[in-house]
Parts: sequence; structure tokens; C-alpha cells
Amino acid sequence: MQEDPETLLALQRANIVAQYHQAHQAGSPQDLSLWKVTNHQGFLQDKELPSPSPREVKKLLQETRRADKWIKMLKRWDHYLLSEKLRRWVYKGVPPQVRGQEMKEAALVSSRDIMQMDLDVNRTFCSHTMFWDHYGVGQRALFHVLAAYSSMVYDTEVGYCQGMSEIAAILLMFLPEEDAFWALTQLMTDDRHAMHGFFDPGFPKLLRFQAHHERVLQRALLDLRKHMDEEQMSTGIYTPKWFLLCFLGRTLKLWDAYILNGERVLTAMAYTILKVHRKHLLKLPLEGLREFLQDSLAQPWALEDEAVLIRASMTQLRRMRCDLPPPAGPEEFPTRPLGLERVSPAPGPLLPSSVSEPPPRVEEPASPGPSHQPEPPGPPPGQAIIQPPPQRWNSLPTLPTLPVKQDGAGRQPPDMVGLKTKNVVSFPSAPAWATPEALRWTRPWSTPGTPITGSPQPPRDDAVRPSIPFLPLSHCSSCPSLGSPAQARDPLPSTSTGQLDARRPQGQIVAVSAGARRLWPAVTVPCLVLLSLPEGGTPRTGHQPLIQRDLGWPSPGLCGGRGDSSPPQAQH
Amino acid sequence: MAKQYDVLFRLLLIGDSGVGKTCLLCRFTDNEFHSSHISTIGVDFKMKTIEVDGIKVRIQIWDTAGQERYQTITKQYYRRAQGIFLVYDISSERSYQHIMKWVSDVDEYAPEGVQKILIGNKADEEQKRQVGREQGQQLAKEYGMDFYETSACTNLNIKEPISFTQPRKVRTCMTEGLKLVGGSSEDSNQEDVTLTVDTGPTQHRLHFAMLLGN
Repeated sequence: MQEDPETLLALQRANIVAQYHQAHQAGSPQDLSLWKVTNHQGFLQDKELPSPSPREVKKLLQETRRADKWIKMLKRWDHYLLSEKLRRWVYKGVPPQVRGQEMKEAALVSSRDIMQMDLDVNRTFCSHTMFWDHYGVGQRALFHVLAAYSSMVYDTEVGYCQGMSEIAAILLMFLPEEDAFWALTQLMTDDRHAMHGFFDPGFPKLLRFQAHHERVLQRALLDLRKHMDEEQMSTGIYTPKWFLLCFLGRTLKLWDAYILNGERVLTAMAYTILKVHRKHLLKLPLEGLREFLQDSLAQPWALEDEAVLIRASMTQLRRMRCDLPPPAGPEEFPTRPLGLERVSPAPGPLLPSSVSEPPPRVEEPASPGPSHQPEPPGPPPGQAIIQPPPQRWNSLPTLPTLPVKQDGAGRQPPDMVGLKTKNVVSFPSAPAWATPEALRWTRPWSTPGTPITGSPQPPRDDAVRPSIPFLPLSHCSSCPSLGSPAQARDPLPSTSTGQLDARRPQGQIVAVSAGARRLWPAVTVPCLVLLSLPEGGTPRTGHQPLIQRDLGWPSPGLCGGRGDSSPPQAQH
Repeated sequence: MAKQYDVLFRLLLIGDSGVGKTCLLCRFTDNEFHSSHISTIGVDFKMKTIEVDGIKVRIQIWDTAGQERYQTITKQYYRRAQGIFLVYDISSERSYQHIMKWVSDVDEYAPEGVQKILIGNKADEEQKRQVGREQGQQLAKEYGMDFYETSACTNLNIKEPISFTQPRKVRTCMTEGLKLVGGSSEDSNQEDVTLTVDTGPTQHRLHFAMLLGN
């Protein structure tokens, strides 16, 4: 029977997917001889390794003993946190088995808003099965995402702001922990959502959207505006909930639209709500207005065709040239690339292993020239931050593929040189302090000021993942998010794009996977739309333990469009 | 449309995040308690109308987000408040320590002479108590505030602080002969009137437990 080409293609695709799936289930490599050439850190060597000398055996035993002690210490981390004992043990060397966990703990406590997060995590969607258990798995994931994002080595400008927990929780309902982290990063910093400005101190973007919303009211719903003024219902009462949380109390459908079309959905939705309910609202006194706009609206909307309405509103607003507020000022964007360590983090370096060499100052010019000022190839120093258009460091197309941090002794993989050159060429607008030499690829959970490569730790792409530290197999079984055999293998993306290939330094695994990681959120976010829409297949609704997960990559069934590098374009 | 009340009072709840401001509000206006609330984003308010000597008094209570960052939004609402509740959690020493900061904010942004009331909430959690009742009393005395320990959970003392100065103010308004009754559209800013006749509420406080009924 002749199959039509499309069916064949689909079968082929399914086949490939199945193969990956099988490989995943098969676990670690079957060829045991591989272990003979695998060194302490998991790297394959050219020759078979000699059996360990008595001295090495002794050292390994010592390390194992230390690891046990560390595991005990990690269990009572808060107790040891600032103790002299911790310092002493760190100087002795953190065993690789626990290093990841220790870094994670240290970074998480570096967040300034731990207490606030603790409060909010326990009141975020507590009616959802995933989050109702205090300190349960779901809440832990939420806490990790928020703490990693707000840690002193990640987004130090926004940190944690109330409202972010709801956004992160929604992401976690459909994504594993670390993917949710990257999706959050993407939402905060990409061009279409740029939620950074919503949560930044002073709420610059909220104020801008609020002012715009008032303008729309003035132009299109004058009678309602007058009524609201008379009743002293100011827009400032309801807009924070609407804009910061993206009407989250309402419906995930709107969230999908927001993911897809970005911030203009917020303007359109605000307008749509008031327009649709105008007649009703005009009759309501202040209390009724509040109840309607703050509480009743949180119930699922009775109108079936809200999507149609919102799109109609978007068209109408565009015709009125009111679909978006005036462009954002630079204050709404991160002024420094996320993930760049602070020079002097507030809690102080918990791990003094950097003591032999202070962490290099981030402001230092990357180029070896004599100048002490940053010398960007594009805008002059200082103005890169002030002048519009602002630097959007984390929007994908402009983000340099960050190299692994170089250690103090100048040890670095030879291919990094090629990487650097390529990146500098690729991103001419980046100021010098942000060029790859100056940027150090830091882990969101790593200790501020701790040079990660000061240890024998190999540079791995895991470095950027908040929940999967470097951990050899089967250690620290007390922590379910660690030590899964699956995690020890690096999941290099099976698909890559032209864009990625262009940046890919040949033969440099680290850079490839780091670049791919960067690409991933851009693909994730549209996938969320597919996930949430009823026609997008069975949504992943529950939290799955990390061990069972596919290493942070969406399973193909969930994310059919992963191969497409370009996110869906705004539909209008 | 005719007003459903004669006098309006705006009260404001401030204090650290998680001390139970929203719970207090819900307990007072709806007599409900939910152990799980979502965090307040920005501001919110609820209203309740009570009757004092035949005068309908509408109490509008504004709830605010506790995170410091939200002060840029919430401080705009201090100005219009006639009474401010500073809430701390008796099981959190930290929230008690921060009351000083909140007081200085009130001094900066709220109208002068606004009545402040200190509330130690979660009084039902006696086993977790970190702040003694005396400490609360002492602090209240220091800043010239009233002090109550309340529990939104067990409904302890909720009505008392809410009924703090209203009778006095209402009476003052009445004796001043201000047009309060039968509020029509021209009285749209009558609440400002109560501000102008406020002759130092701290000296003439009356506590009417009967005000709201028991």
C-alpha cells in the first residue's frame, strides 16, 4: 500500500522520537569498559586510566568521609551557615558529591527576599493540588525557581516582588522546575513581555500601562471614566492585579494569549473588560465597582467568545493607535546582564575558596587595553545604559553565548578562544564590560564571589541550571532532585537551528549546549500555549519529580514545535 | 443616586507582609476567616456600613500590600485616611520591629493628627508568641497609639479597634451642625468635612463596644 509522503514523514518523526525515548529509558551506557577511561569528574580520557595509587585511594576515602559529613551538614544548613566550621570545611575542599547542593543552598540563601518568598509561596494557588501542601514538592519547586531568580547572582535588580510567585507557579504547572526558571527569565526580559519593568522597584512599566489605560478610557469609554471618577474608583486600584498578574485570577486562556502576543494583550484585555461590562459598571457604586473589577472578574468569564472580543479590541485599539503605551524607558530593563555576579554581594561570600584570588570586577573592561573605562564598540560608555533603545541583555537574539568562567590560573579550554572571537563579532553592540571575556557564566544558585572553576569541576552546561547541580551518580540520595543517573548525562539538544549553528564554535560542547540552553526558553514559551490550549494535546498538569523527567527538555509529544526556532509571530 | 450613608471614614491597614491585614479586613467586613489568602497586590478595600445614633456611618477599610516595594503605590492612600491601623504579628518579632518604620511612614505621608492604632494580630497563636503584650503596650504608648491584640482567626477584639473614634467624630460632626444627614450628590466630598472638624481624636477617644453590636 502506498503511503502518502506526509504519513511517512510523520512515521519517521515518531520513530526518531521513540528512539530517543528508548535511549532515555536505557539509562547509563552499557559499555562498561567506558568506565575505565572515565576520570574522576566524568570525562572520557584517551587512555585507560591506571589503577589508583595508594595515596589516591586514601584521598578518595577521605573524600567519601567528608562527603558524608557534608551531607549531614547540608541537612542542617541553616545551623552551619555562618559558622566557622563551614568555613573550615570549605577550605578543606567541598567534595564533588555535594558541591552542587552546597552551591545551590548557598545561592538560595543569598536571595534578599527569602522570608518574603516563604510567606508568598505558601499562599500562591493554595487551592491547586500542586501547591497546597506547605513545604511540599510543588511549593519547593516554586521556592527554588523564585530563589534562584532573585539570588544575588541572578536578577539583582528585581529580586523578588510579590506577584512573581503567581507567574512562576503558573509556569510550574506546565513545566519542570528548571524550565520554569528559564521561562520566567524569558518572560521577564524578552521584548514582547518584558515583565522586568512591571516588578522593578518603582513599577515603571505598571505606571506606564496604567497611564495608557486611562488614556484609552478617556478616548473610548468617556462615560465610564466619568462615572468611575465620580465614584472615586481610581484605575490604580485594579490595574496592579490586572497587569502584574496578567489577569491571572481569570483564565489561563488569556495567559496563553499573553504568552503569544505579549503586552498588547494586557491593554486590549483591560479595555475589553470595561467595554463589555460598561452598561453594568455604569450603574454600580464604588463598592460594586470594586467587587466587580477585583473579585467577580476573577471567576471564569461567562462569555465564550472572549478570544474574539480581545482580538477585536486589539484591532480597534490599533486603529485608534492606542494598542500600546509609549515605548519603555531604559529604567524598565535590566541594566546588567542577568547572571552576572555582583562585585560585593550583601551576604558576603559564603565559600571563601575564592580567597586566593578575589573575583574579578565586573566593571573592568574585558579588553586587555590600558583604559579603565568600558569601551563598547557601539555606544560610548555610560550611555549604553541611558540611551534608548535600552540594552536588553536577555532577549535572545542579542545575547552572547556566555563562556564558562575562566579560572584564575588562566586555565581554559582551548576552544574558548574561538568562541570568544565569534561572539565578539556576533554582538558588536554589547559594551565591553559585557563582552564574553567580562561575562562569567555564573550559576544562579552558586555562591556569590565563588569562582566555580577554582575547583576541579569541569565546565559543563549544567552550570546554568538551577536545579541540577553537578553530581556524580547516586550521591546525596536525600535530595530527590539530585543524583538521578539521567541527569549525569548531558542532554545535548537533538535539534539545533541555523541560528544556533552560526554561533556554535566547532567542537566545543560546552558552548554548544550553553547556546542551546539559551535558545530553549524561546521555544518553551510558545510551547506553553500549545500545552494549555485544549487542542494542544494532553496538558502536563501535575508536577513530575525531576528524576522522571527528560532532563529538562520537553518531551516531543508536549512540544511538537521544538525544532522551529522562531516563536510564533503575533497574529495580527 | 442617593447615598446610602451619611458619613464616610477611610481607614488604612498597614504593616509587614503576612501579618494578617487581609484576614483582619475580611473578618471585619464579612465576618469570615480564610487561613489561605493570596498576597495583596497593590491595594484593595472593603466597606461596611454601620449605624451610630441613627447616622449611617460607612467605614471604608483599605488593605495594602506589605512588601516594601509596594509602598510606592500604597503611600498614595495614606493621605486620604482618617485612621491607620499598624499591624504586626505577635509571633514575629521582626514585624514588631518594623512598626517604627511604618510609624515614620505615616508621619511622612498621612495627614497630621491622623489616629494611629497598633494591632498585634494572631493573638490566638500563643505558643508561638515572640512579642509580649507589654511590649505592644509600651510601643503604643511611646507613639501615642491605641493598642489591641486581635485574632482574625478567633475573632478576638476585632470590633473594638474598628470602633475607635467614629462615635466621637460623628458626634463632633453633628454638634458642629454640618450637613451630614440625607447626603445628596452635593455632599460628595463630605468625608473631607469630618477631617476638618477633627479636633484631636487622640484626646477624645471613646470605645464603643456597642457600636457594632456583639
